[in-house]
Amino acid sequence: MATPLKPAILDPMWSNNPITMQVLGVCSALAVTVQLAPALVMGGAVIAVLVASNLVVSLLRRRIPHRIRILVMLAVIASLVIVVDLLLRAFAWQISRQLSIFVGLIITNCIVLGRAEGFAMFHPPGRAVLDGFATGLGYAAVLAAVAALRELLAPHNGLAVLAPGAFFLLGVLVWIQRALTRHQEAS
Amino acid sequence: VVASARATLRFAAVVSAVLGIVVAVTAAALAPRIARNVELERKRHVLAAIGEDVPRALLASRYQEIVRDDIVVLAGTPYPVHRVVDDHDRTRAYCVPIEGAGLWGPIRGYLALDADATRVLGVTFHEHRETPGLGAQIEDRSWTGRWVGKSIVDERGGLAQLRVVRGARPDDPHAVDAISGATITSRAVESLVQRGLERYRPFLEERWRRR
Repeated sequence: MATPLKPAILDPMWSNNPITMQVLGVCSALAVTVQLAPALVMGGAVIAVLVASNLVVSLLRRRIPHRIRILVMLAVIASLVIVVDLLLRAFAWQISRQLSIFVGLIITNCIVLGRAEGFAMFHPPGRAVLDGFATGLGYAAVLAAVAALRELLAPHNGLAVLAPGAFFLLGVLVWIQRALTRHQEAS
Repeated sequence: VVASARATLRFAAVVSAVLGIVVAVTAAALAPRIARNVELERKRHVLAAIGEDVPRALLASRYQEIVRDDIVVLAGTPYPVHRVVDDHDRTRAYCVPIEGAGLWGPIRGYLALDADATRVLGVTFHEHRETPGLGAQIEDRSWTGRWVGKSIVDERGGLAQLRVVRGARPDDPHAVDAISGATITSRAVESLVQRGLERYRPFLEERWRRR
């Protein structure tokens, strides 16, 4: 059942992108994309959490009792997020202040739990790590794109710094990508 | 895996213990570094309250150069006063901590007063959990700037009640325009500033008598 390596890496980046295709993690994509630097750090934090949570869940996948698997995943993810938050506060203080509560909110980010339940539970550690990395990269790429556009537009357009402006921008990005891939939402 | 209740409990206990240890060890290992960052942030805000924007690398030395951390005893309780001095060691400002409950968590900040302790030089908030985009505007200079120049002395020479109200005019000596969309945060800041001033009232009145 192993899918070829190339789509396993590229699909989460493009045709199955967590933000533009699955429309997950939108809240943070609007909140931390006023400037590029914090958006990149947020992307890095999500990549780290996704890789580590996929790895841990995959290693435990044959031992986790079925009834409490979601609880176990949430406990793993929450612990990882606390560790990442502490690391940022110790080594990237200014940016961690700008990201405020949004690092902590990675715990509730559906992308992370989705990959744990939907992928890491059924794949060996190597594959799970790769999937976490690719999915995180797909998330980070959209964040970086939105943030770069907002930072460029900010001096010319006051709307770009506000959340509604980010919402419009993200909508346009989703539109462009779906037009290019001729993606149809299943009805 | 379908497991018995006993095995499920045992698994949950082991996972919780391991995760707890990982988090606790990380927190303990990073605590000194984080504490240093928090202390620098505090110093940055004391200086920001008097209008000085100091680069991070120079914070500690600048703070040591111009800020004297005094303790005043008011009604038997010691309270900190950060006294800002000029080159000749003359006081040019007083900076006092203010704190209280916000919408989602405690709000902590500093209120800076001029050498006479009659006018506000600035306010800053270095710790809060207010709603991003709404209440979190209390840390933006566009809002804290509205406090500059407000008078804490009323017409009869007593302690004025500074208000945070919607539509307050910039030239109103005792009122600051509230943040629209953040009524609870605005009220919280009003009350914590009032309580802070009330706490330091004996100290302030002593300064006024010396004028």
